[in-house]
Amino acid sequence: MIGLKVSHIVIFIVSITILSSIPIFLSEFTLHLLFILFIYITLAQAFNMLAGFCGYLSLGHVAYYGIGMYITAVLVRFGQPLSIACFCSAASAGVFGLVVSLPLFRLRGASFALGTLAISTFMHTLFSQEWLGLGGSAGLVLRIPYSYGKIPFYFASFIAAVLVTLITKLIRHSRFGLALLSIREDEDVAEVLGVKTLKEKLKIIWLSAFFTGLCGGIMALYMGHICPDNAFPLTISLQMQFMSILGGLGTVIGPIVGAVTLVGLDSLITFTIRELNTFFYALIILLTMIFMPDGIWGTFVEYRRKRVLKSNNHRKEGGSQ
Amino acid sequence: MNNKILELKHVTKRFGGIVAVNDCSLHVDNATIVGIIGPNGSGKTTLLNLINGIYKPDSGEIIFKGRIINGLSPSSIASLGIGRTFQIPRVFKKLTVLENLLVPTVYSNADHSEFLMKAKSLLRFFGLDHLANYYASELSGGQQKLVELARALMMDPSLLLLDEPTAGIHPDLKDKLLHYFSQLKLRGISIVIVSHDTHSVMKVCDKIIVMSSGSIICEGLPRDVTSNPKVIEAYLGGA
Repeated sequence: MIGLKVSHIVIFIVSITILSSIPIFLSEFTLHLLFILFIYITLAQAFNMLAGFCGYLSLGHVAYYGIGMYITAVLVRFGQPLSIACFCSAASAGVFGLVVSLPLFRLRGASFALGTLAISTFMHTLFSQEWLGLGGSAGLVLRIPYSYGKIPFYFASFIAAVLVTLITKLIRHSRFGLALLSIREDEDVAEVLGVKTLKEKLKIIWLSAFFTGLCGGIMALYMGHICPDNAFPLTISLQMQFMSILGGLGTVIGPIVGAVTLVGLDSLITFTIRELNTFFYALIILLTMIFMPDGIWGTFVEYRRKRVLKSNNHRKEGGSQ
Repeated sequence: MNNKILELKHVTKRFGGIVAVNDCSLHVDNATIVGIIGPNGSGKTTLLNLINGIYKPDSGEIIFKGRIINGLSPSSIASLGIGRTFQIPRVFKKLTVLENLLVPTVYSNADHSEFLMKAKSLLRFFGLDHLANYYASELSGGQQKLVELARALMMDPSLLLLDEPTAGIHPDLKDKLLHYFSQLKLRGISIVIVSHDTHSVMKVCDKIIVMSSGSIICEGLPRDVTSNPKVIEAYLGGA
């Protein structure tokens, strides 16, 4: 059922080869930009898994990101290897996603979105408490050897982005993906047709929270300082939505397009009109929603689909004459 | 041997102060077609929703193949072999027609190509094969109705619940559809048809159940039901 074409595989292999061999030639700034890009791709894909395929728009995905950050910080402080810490933080974020989603999945639409927002706000407040032993509002400082440089982070984020994109592609063309899409379209009818909706939703939230938590874990090591304000900022949730919606919800390439656009805009705005960045984000998302409701890539996919259908019809008409 | 595939015993469903289904008892035999008719608001669709688990009955028992299915989720009831279509077509609009048909097969272990062939042959039968790659939202209301029916048939159901299956369908196709229902019956599938199109229902049904104000007022062979004074009163009013 996996709809992979040879040209897609070739493009994928060439891209992977180039991206995995260039970091030694790149400046620290470029490495930083690419690191951020890969983290954004991973976050956007993780958001897309739930919102794009399953139709559940979350406003509080940052809760999983923050959990990932704190668990990594605690494990590293207890002397665990960095890779183990990152993996455990991702898995914990996944489990946390399951636990909070069990009651949240009784809600739909705006109620679900508000419920997730409430969870992320609650987490921010909880982790600001001194009695938790995690530094309260001041947070924790991690001592990562400086000699590591940016290259390991580049590869960690690169692997995360490739992995999440591959998994998204596999899901899109699997029976699991079809079950998710049916939930997105009409959950009650999906249930009547035998789709175990709660089970499928829990599977996808685990995956989505896993990759969001993984990003949090990697970012904790990258930043070296973890506090409630950088672990649970609302902007992360908003950026995840921005990238997925701008690129095209429910597509595999859309979130990548969205992430590239966001990083490009970020750089452009930072060097020009920094004070107006949120204004520009809002303007762009508004214009996209009005003129390209399916997102940039979604609009392209739709255009291509209609063209293929049209040419097929012409061919049939030509054949019947 | 028990020939009943479905049995309802004293089933009642209330919504606040309204009794939508009131102490209904009925049965459907194996390989038969049962029509449920009645004026608007008589509780026909609610009855279907109770059978396939969308609503839970307040009292009474629903028995399918000898097993009580009250309280089971719609997905569990579907996996037991009950297929369903809706009064207003509820297709997955942003999925292609072919994808719509493949949704009921997501848990099947059988080969994907087998289902693909089955889906394509159903689409051919309903004259929708040229629309397989279109989004379901791009089809007309009548075509969406057929997609729904084909999708329900993909489940290999032993009982089909059809809500207004002939509404909005082209007259030529309607006759073909009614003939197809008879063929399904011969293959051992039981069908419950809820419809306002009494003329069509009478043609294919082995038994007619008439509902009014949530209660079953009459049950019997099509020719007997049409001459029943209670039925005439329910349709024409009690004045």
